[in-house]
Amino acid sequence: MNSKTSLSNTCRYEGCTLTGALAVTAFVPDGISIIHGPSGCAHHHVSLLHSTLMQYDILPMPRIMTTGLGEREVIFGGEESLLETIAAAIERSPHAVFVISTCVTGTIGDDTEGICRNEWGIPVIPIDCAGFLGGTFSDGFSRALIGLSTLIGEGSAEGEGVNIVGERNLEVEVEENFREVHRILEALDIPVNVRFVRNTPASGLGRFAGGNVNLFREDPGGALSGFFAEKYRIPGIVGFPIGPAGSCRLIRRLGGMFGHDPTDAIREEEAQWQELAADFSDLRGGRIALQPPATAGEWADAVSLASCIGCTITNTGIPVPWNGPIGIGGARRMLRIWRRRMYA
Amino acid sequence: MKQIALYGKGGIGKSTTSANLSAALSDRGLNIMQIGCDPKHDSTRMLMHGKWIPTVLDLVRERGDKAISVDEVVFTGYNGIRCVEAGGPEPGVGCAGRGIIATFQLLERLDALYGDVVLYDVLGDVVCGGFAMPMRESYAREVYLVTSGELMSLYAANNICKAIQRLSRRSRCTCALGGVICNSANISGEKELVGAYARRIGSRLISYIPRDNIVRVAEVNKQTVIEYAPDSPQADVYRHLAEDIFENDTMTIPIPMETDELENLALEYV
Repeated sequence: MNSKTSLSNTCRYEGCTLTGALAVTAFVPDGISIIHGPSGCAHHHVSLLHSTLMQYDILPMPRIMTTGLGEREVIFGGEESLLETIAAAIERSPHAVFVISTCVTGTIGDDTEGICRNEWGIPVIPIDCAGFLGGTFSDGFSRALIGLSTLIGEGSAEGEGVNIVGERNLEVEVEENFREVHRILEALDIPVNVRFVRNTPASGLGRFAGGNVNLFREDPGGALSGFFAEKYRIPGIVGFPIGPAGSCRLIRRLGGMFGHDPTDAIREEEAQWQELAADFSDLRGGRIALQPPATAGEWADAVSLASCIGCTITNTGIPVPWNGPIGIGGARRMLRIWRRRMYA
Repeated sequence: MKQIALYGKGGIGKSTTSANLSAALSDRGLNIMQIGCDPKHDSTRMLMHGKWIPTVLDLVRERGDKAISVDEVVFTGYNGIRCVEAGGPEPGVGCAGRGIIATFQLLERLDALYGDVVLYDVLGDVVCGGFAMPMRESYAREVYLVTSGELMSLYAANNICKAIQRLSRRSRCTCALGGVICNSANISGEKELVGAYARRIGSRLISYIPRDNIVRVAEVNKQTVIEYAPDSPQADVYRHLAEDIFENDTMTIPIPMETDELENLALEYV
């Protein structure tokens, strides 16, 4: 019996496991995702994805299919429908197919993994997303990334630099956040190897194994970094940089890992943070309360950011939003909101 | 309309008992319907003289549940008994319990559930909610446990008691235990053991069916004992069972035994 539970018995801590998986697989442009479950499950998540991507002017829509299980399939098993849907997906010439199982198929015991192991001619990757077992959005997200590692295979001799792992494809600032990381890497003359996965074709994921360092967007449970460190023997850094302290720390770590002297890059980074502080000098001396509060892991970086612009964090301060802003760009966007709140 | 369900461990003789019970009841001039609720779909075979009738779920699988008529799922067997087999998915796939629910919904939609007695012959353990369907409101109001004196058979019977007790807590549930039928496995002290078990759970032994070779002979001749050997002592046993069940109006909510208690009880009759 799966003993994992949600944090509350009245509402879920996070969204559906399925959404988490789709937030990964839908961003492999030459792949097709199959939701193995009722069409309602597919509709709900595709609608969510559609509205989110439309908001960001991202077209075309990812290729998503469903086995559309009904009562007939629940009674007699959904394996036949899955076989037919995989075959129909392969007719559309993808480089990989991702089969995302649902609560229904978990309950009736469809052998999704067994069917995916058939000789299909291309990788057909199962991702178990039976949410009733206690999984959340993050679990689906992690399982999809781990499932997609099948596409890395033994890897290629090519590739060097940093693998960017687990970008939040559904967040508004996903590209801005990537640019912040990219800017820091460029300052150290380190290339991005693979974005795993953000609009990276399945056929290009083999380069992953040639990377020197994995940089994870986040990994609160440690499952992702642990998996990739063990499987590919690539050292990892968890967390995109927050605040001047976070940015400089990342530069130092990367410099050390790649054997590059980080002194100039740190000096340049600190100068850019000082420019930011100058742009928001009107906030100097302000007393602020972060809403929601920074997590324990973010706290020191939050303090460094507040200090940089001359603000003090205190419970009795003016409530300002905290969203764990990535790099200087993220901080600039957040500080504009702080300014509006502090002048309101 | 009297609606009864026979539950018990697989292979204990539920279908044989059900078919002979239906046959005996029909000989009393009653309008009888028997519904096999087991993917093995062999409940009504003796009533149908060995014919395997198409199951409801076979038809649903082939063409969905919209275009199915009563004539395609209800078949007339011995003495006008209307026979239905729910059927189920292939072994190892899908959900047979959901299949039972779908079958009942279809039979209701077709207005097929009528007669003086509707008898549900249900697969061994109540393994999920679907197999408890016959016990739910508007279906069987009387459950009879079929068991031998073998411990595994009593375990299964005791599990079914748990299901009845659980369902009885629901406000509109009308299902209760009508009694225990001992289908003998020729074990010493068997009748006494099953009788004691029935009392311990707050019920009674309604019939003891001795083991008799005539049952096997009738089966290989694809008939019930009632039809094949109506003058045999075994046929009399089934007729008495039919009379007792038809007249029975004593229903109880069983109090299932703890496993240790059940094992200790069995030890007393070794």
